[in-house]
Amino acid sequence: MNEATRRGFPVTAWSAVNSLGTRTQEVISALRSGVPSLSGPPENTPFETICGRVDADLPPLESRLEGYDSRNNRLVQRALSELEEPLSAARDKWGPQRIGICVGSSTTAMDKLEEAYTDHLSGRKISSGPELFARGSAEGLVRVLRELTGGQGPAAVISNACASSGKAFASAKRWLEADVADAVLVGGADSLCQTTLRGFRSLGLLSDEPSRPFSRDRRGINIGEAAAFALLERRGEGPRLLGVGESTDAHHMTTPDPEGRGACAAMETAVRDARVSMADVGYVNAHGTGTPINDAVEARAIRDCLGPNSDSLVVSTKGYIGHTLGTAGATEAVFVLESLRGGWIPASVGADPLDPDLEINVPFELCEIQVDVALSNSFAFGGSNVCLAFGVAE
Amino acid sequence: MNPLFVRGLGLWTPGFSSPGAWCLGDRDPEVTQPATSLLTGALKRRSSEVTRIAIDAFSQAAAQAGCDPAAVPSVWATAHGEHSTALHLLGMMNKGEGKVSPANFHNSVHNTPSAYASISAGNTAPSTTLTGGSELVCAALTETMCLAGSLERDVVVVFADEALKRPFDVSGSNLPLAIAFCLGQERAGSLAQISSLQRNGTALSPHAHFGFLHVSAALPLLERIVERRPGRVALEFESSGTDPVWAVDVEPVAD
Repeated sequence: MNEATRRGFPVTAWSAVNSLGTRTQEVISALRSGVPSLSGPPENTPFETICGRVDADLPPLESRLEGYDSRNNRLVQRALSELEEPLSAARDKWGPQRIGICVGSSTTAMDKLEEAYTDHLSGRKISSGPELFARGSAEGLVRVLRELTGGQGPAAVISNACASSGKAFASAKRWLEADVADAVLVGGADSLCQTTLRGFRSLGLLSDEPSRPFSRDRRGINIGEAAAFALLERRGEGPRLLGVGESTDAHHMTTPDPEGRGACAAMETAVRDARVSMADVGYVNAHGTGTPINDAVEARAIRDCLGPNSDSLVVSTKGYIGHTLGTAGATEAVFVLESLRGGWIPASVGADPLDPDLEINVPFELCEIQVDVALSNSFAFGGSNVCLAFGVAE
Repeated sequence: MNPLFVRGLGLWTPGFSSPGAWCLGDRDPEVTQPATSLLTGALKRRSSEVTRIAIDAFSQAAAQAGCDPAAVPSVWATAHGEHSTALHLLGMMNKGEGKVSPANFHNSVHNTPSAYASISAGNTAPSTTLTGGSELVCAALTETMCLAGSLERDVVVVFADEALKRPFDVSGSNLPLAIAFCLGQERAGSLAQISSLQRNGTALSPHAHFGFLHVSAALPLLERIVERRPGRVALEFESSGTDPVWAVDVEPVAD
């Protein structure tokens, strides 16, 4: 098949760091084993909860990037360290000016701003503005990504809350289609902070036990932290990003449209963009946060899209690492890419006993099965929806 | 990337409620609050300054282009997002038991202006919010141009930020600013053509009124379009490591 007739763009390399591990192989091995990795919250959290925390030591940023050091950027550095070779090859192949950077982040390094504010109240001197924002904002994230990747094409940070890094894939695909770049580093990073932990608690959405998406006994979410990246190229070998779909609920800041119309529209658009049919979809990596309402609405949307008798497997991987917020889309995209490459689908951990009202096909054990097309959903505050359609390598 | 046409503009900052007034220097001391007619009752009450000014600029650009605010796709760019709301949360976390307000929390996300606009207007079209620093204006224009080309529809892009407050007041600006452009593929009735988004411009000087408020890097583009001056417009105050900086070429469209 020549390049012109191929659908979408290949994802030639990827990496992930989260509570399952600090190397991609470690993360995927743990995912295959079906064992979650959840623990307690950061020490300054004034209540008990469960988090998907990266417990391993994260080395500080290398000396030339010292001014941008933050937990968030340490996660970025760790995840990108595995992509040095493919990035170098991409720079040689396309030229640095043709390598774009498109990532998603919701809270970024909010913990740095929290720390500075507390210091300010205590009368301690805080960093000057530019220094603080270099560490604590998306500006610092872009600077670190430019330095670590050598990419000199356009750089964007998308911040649509929990749909951020999923939408980064959609934007990157458009950049390739519009010939803005020949390769795009896509992904995201979000680290734990008090604003999100206390905020989700205030909304009554945190579970005080390990999250159990799609289970009859689900009680809410666990917050996690992560970084995940993928290299999307115009040409190359690997599973392909076939299509993307985006929509907005136009309903409520935190509650999804009860009929799931926005979620369904995103899935339908992604499948249409991929030039496949719903019958081709063998696996849906759901947003699956584990809250009673969100899972019910998403299940309804999946049933409406795939049909009531679909045998597509529906999995939430948030039971392993919690909800990694702005990084969820990229992290789950990496899980899907591994599934397509390896011919397996992870267990939807915690889903047993399944909520019978959901009427979706949720596996409790790992399935050794090769599917051709998989969808990955991400939904967010403000009713922002994105669905990514991935396919096996051609 | 194919060239696109500027089909509508919007601007709000204290004293100026339109791009034309801004470019004429026609300051009106009565302009102290943005128009909020798009926002429905409860959302209007709960909205922050950055949400209100962003939605005013969005509404102006959509109206000039003849776009339905209930249907037009959108891109929103903000360096600091819901800054006042985030500061309020930080204050709450440092008092008493450190509990935060759920409404303040969900309104603290960067895509709050987009969400309020979509909920108020009933707009289910795709909407993307970007954040960042010196490259924010370039990134948002890239996203907008690619989205408009992909969907073959007009897209409104909004740049908005509040003035930063203590202890984070570092931009040298004490004024909020919102600017909007409606970009599309139809030449007829458009104001200008923009093309050639490349790293070939000379860095902008900080604006006299807005300092280093990153979204104000979109002002020279708006001014050039209103004043019908062709040429290259830089989109950054400073280089992000390699000179020169991101820029676009502007060509007025004949009446």
